[in-house]
Amino acid sequence: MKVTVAVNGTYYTREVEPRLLLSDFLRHELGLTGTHVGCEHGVCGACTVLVDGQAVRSCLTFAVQMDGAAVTTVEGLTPAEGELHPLQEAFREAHGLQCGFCTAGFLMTLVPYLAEHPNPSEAEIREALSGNICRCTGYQNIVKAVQLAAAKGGGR
Amino acid sequence: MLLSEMKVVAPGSLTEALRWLEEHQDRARPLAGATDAMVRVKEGQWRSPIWVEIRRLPELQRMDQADGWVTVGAAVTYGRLLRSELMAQTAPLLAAAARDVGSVQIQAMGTLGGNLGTASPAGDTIPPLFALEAEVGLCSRGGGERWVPVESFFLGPGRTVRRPDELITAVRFAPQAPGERWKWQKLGLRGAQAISMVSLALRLQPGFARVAFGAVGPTVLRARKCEAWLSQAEAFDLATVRSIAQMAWKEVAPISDVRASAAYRQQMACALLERGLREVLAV
Amino acid sequence: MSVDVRERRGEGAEAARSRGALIGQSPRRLEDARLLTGRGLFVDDVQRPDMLHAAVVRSPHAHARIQGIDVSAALALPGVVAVYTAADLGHLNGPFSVLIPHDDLQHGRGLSALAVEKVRHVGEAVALVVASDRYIAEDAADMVAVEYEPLPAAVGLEAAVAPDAPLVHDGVPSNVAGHYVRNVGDYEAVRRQAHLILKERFRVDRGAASPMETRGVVAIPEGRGLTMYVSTQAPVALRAWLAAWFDLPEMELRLIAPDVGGGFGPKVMMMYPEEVLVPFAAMRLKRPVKWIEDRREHFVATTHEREQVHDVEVVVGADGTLLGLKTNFLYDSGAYSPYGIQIPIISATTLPGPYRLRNYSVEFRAVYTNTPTVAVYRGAGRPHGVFVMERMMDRIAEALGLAPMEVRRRNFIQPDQFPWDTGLIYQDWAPCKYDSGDYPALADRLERMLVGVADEVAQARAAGRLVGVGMGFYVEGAGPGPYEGVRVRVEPSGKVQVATGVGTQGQSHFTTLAQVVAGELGVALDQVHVVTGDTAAMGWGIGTFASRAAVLVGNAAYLAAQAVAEKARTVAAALLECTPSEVELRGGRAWVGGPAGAGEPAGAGGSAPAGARETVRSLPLGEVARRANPLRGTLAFGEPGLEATKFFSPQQSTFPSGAHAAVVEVDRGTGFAKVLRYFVVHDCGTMINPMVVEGQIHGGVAQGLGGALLEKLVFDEEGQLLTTTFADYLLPLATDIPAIETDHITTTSPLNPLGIKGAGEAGVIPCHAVVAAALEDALREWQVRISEMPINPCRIWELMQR
Repeated sequence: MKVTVAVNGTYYTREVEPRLLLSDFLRHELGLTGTHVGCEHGVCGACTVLVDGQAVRSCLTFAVQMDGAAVTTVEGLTPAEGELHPLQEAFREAHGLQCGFCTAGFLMTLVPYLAEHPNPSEAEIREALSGNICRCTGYQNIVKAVQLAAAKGGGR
Repeated sequence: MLLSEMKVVAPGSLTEALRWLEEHQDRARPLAGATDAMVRVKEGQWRSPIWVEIRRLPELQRMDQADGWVTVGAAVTYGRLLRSELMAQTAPLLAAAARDVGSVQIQAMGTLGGNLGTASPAGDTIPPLFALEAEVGLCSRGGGERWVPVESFFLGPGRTVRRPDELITAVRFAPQAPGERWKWQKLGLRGAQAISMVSLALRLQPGFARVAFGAVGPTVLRARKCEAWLSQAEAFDLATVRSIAQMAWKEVAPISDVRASAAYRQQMACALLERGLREVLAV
Repeated sequence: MSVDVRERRGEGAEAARSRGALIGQSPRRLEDARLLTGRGLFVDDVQRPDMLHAAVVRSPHAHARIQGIDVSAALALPGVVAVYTAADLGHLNGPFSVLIPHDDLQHGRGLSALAVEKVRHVGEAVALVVASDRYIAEDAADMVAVEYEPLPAAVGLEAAVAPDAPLVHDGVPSNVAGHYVRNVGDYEAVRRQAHLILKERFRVDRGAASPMETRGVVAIPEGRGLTMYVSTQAPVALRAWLAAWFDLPEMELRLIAPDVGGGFGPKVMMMYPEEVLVPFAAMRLKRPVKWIEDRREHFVATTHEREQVHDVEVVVGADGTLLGLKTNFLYDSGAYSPYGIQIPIISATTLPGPYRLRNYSVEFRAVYTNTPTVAVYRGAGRPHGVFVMERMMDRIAEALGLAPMEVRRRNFIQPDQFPWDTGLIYQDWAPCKYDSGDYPALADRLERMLVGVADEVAQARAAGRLVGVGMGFYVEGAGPGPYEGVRVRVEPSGKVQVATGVGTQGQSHFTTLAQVVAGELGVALDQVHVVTGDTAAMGWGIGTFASRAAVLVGNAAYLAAQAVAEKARTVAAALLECTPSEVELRGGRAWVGGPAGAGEPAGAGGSAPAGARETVRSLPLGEVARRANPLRGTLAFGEPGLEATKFFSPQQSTFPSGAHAAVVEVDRGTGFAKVLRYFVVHDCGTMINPMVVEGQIHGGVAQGLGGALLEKLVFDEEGQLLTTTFADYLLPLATDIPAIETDHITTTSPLNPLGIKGAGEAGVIPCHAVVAAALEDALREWQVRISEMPINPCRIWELMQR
């Protein structure tokens, strides 16, 4: 099947098998390997990308369902080569990542969240993070990173 | 059925979607947010040769109120439900349950119709629909539209009265009364992203009570004895609330599994009801 | 966070502090920009145009005889390139030898690549399918027809050692793989004089480490040999095993552990079947082959840990002195024993903890069951030993009417009693002899953190809430040998390359090793580039596990950097016409003349100081490196360039310690337990980067709390694993873990130059014990006994019904 998707602002048209997951489409068809797959059953959140601005799990979506949609991946977050998005900067500052495997999923979940909730409380942040699993950090420094990003203007 | 033989079709209209279902019957299966379907496919189940993509069908997107009915299209996502002004006014119980489904990423894709079609007794939006005495709209090319009371819609875990040529198109219900007391509660083994062990949708007005439990039987079920006592009670003191809540023990029929024993689930049904009642009645 | 430096025999650490100005600081991590922008390289990110994809056919039975395998239908599926069974591998199929043999492992049984004749656990590999894409490979795996004759399965520790239990392996009576007995002092003698004897049975159930990245193997035929990318914690060791196994010269097998998405132990175990199957297929087919484990597969194909049952008895004096302890326990090895009896040995030797235990009797049997193989998971047996000892400390306190802290204080090894020899031999076959520590100071710090908590708890209880406090202490053997090595090289560009053979799974090696080296060479941190886990860059090494990387690699890096610094001073002295001792390395240059710091340009940049005195001269370090590697003439400095490779080989483990406490609330109606606060006081010796150490603690505690309250692998009687998704095996989420409050003391290790003791596993070790104690305290009105972990709301509620 033919599918046309705008990924990080570029239109891609590809002939793909209907069974192809969006996560595999991004990683293997487009070579955007920043999106990771941790469980393929919709719990861990590592594969989170934005579809039309909303955080979704790319492992639970067929690529062909995305025809005409706008997808943003972690590669689309960085303003320019060598720069970091304020949220990425906050993650570095607060040591919000260790192995880095789950990180893209957290970032992509948080971008729309912070846009909608510029001043979240700690409890609200923890709830916002509850769709993503990190096995390294115990979440504490991720929470700190979100607080830092929020303090610096909502991470936008 | 092999993954490599699977096909996804994306009809542009409801009529076209219904034609796929009619022509292919059991070989075709509607695909909405895919949040359950994809997991089942990965497990080797639900290997339908044809998936009919309905998530973006315009006919399934409605959310409106007319003639005493609030109608919600089958492809309305949990995310839309929980953010909707109309839901906040007419069915806050349903909106609250939508907020507890999966995670924010699931809420963005998963749909109300999908939750009904999957027919899990632990589906989070279903107890509110029972408490709202909602009707499920089914549509087929041959038979047109029919509305089924939500309680008759489910036959058991994963089984509904939907015929293979039919599509769930919408859900409708009478709005909650403005002054009505209500409570949605869910008990899972983890603070978030948990499959319900017990869930409760409660509505209360003078002379009126609806109590629906999820995950404690083959389908969601109404606790009719509790409802009867609640609607007849003159005044609610703690003892009354406790004795009514304790009746839930006999109204539910849970199983033991990896998550919890049947006895625990039974007691938790009572505990949730007691807690819910005490909160809405402030006793 | 405060750091209290208490030097005890710590002359090495003194050196570290004065020279390595970067040690003890918390610069931001050098690896983060790459990982944050999606530019990491994890094994599934490795792509080649002609790559094939593999899927493994796995046993649906816990125990069955294989009657036949028909691969014809799978082979006929378009896109399928090959299907292999054990017969195709021949002698390469195994069984592999046991990774860590031991005299007390009487019946070790290694894994094979593919099952022959019998399968012994659900998920055991039976065949390998290779196809043009992963979807086809998975489809074809479903089409491989394996005919099984199901056999009764040995499931559950006690059941597996029962007289009539099915045998997992022929020739292993009663399923006992190993039997170990050790006695320190004379337990029976002290028992006869006992004031008080307490007994209890404790159980810790199974868990899964669950790194967010599953395992994966890519094998790419290149030239005469092979390049492999493996998500392993032990790349150099794995290369050695695989080269020997395939009879390849080591130089023709390059093995890379790229970015690894969490390890926590299971990625240490070599060789996993797929680590042999994938290169086998790649060499046969002469094409790159990739296998990426999926999550469900991970639950049955990657090793588990934690199951033990202890029968414990303690002998106590009237004043609460622990006079003796005896434990007899069972350890579930799963279906095979690649890791030997390392885990139960670690349990046995961790159990004494920070206490003066002079009469100790320990016996265990390692038991085969028809369940996935058990190997190490963060803590690796330590949590069990600590659970048993700390629970018994609480029992003693209760029996004698003493405060839990008071009983512990009465039994602590005192600061002047180091080195303290437990009388046991540790997992590294060296004495289990504590190097340094100050356990009373840990207690002081913990009590200081808990000031006010008693009032909070009392208030909550007065309001009818079920809130309780629990604590636990531990000493853990860490940083075992045999060795690690580091090569440091200064390039003419002035950049410094640091190569180590260990891989990294999030431990921040790119930053912490750079800190060690940058401090010695006087260069900016970002001038140091660390390469990990690539056998082409460093062919010596063991791996990242057992809290050993900072201890071994950190010290090796320190030694190598020192050697390079010395060489730099020698070369620079010749160029600057002075003696080596007059040369100072700082700001990326070699300086001579003037008092230390004189003429240093603002910001310690690379240019010559403006207005410097004539006597102050300097050269960029890169220039020194270039001059040490002349193209013509003679070489005056022995070896070219500024490069050194050094190894650090400790003769025994280090012994970090710590104390944790938790405030836990139980919901009266539902039995739900919530950890309200969590406290950690920790002593890992010198900290290279306190931010990184704290991160390790946070992650460890989260895993420990998950293991106490949420995570449990459940099998049915037939050996089917019922929890094979993250919806059933519950990892803690951000909403399940409280903010962790930490404090540190520092007693440096005298066993290594930097005084480091290791920190990777610390967080997880006492969590079971701490949560159990807090739950008992919260539920004191029911007088419950919590002697089994993990514990879920349903079980807590059941305890409350009594």
